[in-house]
Amino acid sequence: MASRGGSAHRANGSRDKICHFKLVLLGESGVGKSCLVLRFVKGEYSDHLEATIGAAFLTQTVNLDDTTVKFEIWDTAGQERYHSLAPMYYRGAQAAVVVYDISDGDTFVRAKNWVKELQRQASPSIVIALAGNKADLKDIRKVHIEDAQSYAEDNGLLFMETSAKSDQNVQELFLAIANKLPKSASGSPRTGTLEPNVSDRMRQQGNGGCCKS
Amino acid sequence: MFTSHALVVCIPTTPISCALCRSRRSTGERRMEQGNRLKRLSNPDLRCRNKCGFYGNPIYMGFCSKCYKEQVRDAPGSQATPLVAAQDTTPTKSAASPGAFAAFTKFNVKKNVFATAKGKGKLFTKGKVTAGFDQPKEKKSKKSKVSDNTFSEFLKTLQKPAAKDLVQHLKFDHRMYSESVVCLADRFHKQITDRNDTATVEEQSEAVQEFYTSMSERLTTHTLFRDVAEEQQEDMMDGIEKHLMTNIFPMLATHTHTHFTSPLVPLVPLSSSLTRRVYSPDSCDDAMRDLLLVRRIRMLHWLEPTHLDIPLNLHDLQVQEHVSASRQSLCDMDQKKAPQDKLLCISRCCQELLAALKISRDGPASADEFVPSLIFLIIYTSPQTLYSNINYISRFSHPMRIMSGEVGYYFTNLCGAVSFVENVRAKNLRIEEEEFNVKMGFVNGKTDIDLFLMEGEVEEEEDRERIMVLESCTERMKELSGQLKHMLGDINDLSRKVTESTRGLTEQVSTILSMPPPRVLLYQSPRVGQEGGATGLPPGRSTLQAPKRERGHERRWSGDKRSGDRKGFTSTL
Repeated sequence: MASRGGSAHRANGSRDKICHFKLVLLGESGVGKSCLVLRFVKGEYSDHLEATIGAAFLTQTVNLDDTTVKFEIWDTAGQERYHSLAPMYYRGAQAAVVVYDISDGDTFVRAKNWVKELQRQASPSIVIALAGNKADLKDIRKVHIEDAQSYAEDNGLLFMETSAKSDQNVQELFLAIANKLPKSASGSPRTGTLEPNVSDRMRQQGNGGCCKS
Repeated sequence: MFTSHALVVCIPTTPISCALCRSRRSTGERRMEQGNRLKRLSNPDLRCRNKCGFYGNPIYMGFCSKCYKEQVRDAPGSQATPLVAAQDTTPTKSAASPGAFAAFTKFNVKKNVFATAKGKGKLFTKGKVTAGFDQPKEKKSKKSKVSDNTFSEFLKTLQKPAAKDLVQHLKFDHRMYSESVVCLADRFHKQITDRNDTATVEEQSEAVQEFYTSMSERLTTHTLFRDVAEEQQEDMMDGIEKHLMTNIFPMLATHTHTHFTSPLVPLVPLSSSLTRRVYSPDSCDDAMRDLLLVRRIRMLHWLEPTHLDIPLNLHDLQVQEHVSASRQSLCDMDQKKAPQDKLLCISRCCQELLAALKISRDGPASADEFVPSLIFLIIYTSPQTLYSNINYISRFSHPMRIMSGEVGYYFTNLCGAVSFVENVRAKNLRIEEEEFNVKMGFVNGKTDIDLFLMEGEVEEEEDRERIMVLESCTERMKELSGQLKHMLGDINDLSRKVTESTRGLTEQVSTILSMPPPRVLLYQSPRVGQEGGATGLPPGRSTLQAPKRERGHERRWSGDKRSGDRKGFTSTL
């Protein structure tokens, strides 16, 4: 199987237990979702990433004190017209990062809609993080940090203003998510991603039930 | 179809490279090859190192595939290293731990060899239920004769001394595995033969999923396998799943995926039998959905890359190459049997597409570009049985495979793209509703689905009328047959009566005939002669007398008849 271990970065110390988590990236197109995740995975902000074929699916490992968290990052298409496809992606995800652009007020409104939708439809235990990207563009800021902060507090979200360009808060954001994720399911890795009625739902999805709405 | 330049299929590259390994080349290699194409044609160094006349390949250490195999056979120890090094696209996952799991590592390597060498996926096409179990113990593995069956290859590698411990595991595993497989296969046979067509695809899917669950539970909980690393267990499950699905595929195919057996379903007008399937919830309507999808894709023929904001630069030769490889992989899916092989095709398709996007954008593409491109690719390729394939995978694949991992991500994207194509509206393409309807050929705002359902309704209406006519005919027939029966009864009665009366008459006649001839006449004639002749009296007189007697005679005769006494009659005379 190409999927397994395809781009796995095994932790140095394999003594720890390894937790696999599916993380989904949501946000309007152009807010820098892929830059953010590329910065997290590759540690660089660059257009010349020779080794990476695509930024749509990436994996990255985060080492905590006693556990190793392996993120499987699923990017989604941010354009409004693909909005209806999003449930397929966040189904079964343990974490979601909703990204907006601090220099664009509309993207923040959109991000709030994403959060609402996740709270309504995604797994109840999903860890949601709100990321105000492009924090380096403070001069043309449209979304005040206080607004976003209070919104995040009201909704129980992790919040950080990040900048993929200046590598601000990127590692921190993912580290915070890793810390907040429950590690109980770590005994048998990957079971976390699989819920009992998963196959039924996939079947539904296959039957086109997902797209009726 | 959409743009003329995009139609160029990059098959003509065939003669310059080893045909077997085309599909797995890395981007770097491709680029290099592109530049060196002409040079390479004349460069003798690039021929097989064995000087056999064929072209060599860096993956085979400069040999051609055949010579490489011979090379490997001669030096078994040295086979693994160069191959693993060449495998930049699929890094080996198993740590090369000595001892017990060496065989697994070798299995991985072998898998890679096969994936590389076969490329086009002869990985696991000729699985036999027994081949995997019985052969490895009896036969010595002949390396020159490459088996298509990876699983049996895997079992063969376990004969080697390094895998001694594992052979014991295997013996156990083999028993457990074959038992389970046989048990499941039997169940399938039973289900299918007992209930014939009534065993729905959902029931079959459930049975397979149950098997996966119980099998992986047994693997994880059993003492012998508890210590085996997770990835190796997954490998084993992969082998089991692939083997099982390959073997039961023909069974499933005849019942649910009949159209898989034919290479490509020709686009036929929707027949009434298909229409009816829409209304029958029990049956599997995949074939109908396939046709609907193809129909819809046909209606979208006017779609340009600009409608979806696709950043693919289709003028670039390399991009074209990747796109056609991607399309090829999507079509190859039809020929695969096991779900993971189909998923591998999807994966390859997506990776090629991402590679094309990377060249076009000069950087790795995100989902914002990838999803529209995949949608466009599907419309551009128009695969005939995509819907059935997706359903087949989601029914019979291990759920883990499609819910997580890179392949799971690609599969989700494919499902999303298909659902987008099925539900595309004017606003999705940023064009006016009217323009969209005209382009799609929708009449009065009715979509193709509506039209299709309407077709069905019209047909149903016609059917209903026909049935009504038939019913009235049957009614009339019944009436007529009742009448006929009645009439036949009458006829019988009549004929009986006729027979009876005939018999009666015959009796009477015979009675009369058996009687002595009435002497009256004999007696009368002389008298008449006597009276008439002798007296010469006028006839009136004689007639006056005669009737008197006759009358009396008649009276007496009739009285005699009543008594039936002939003697009395005679005596009175």
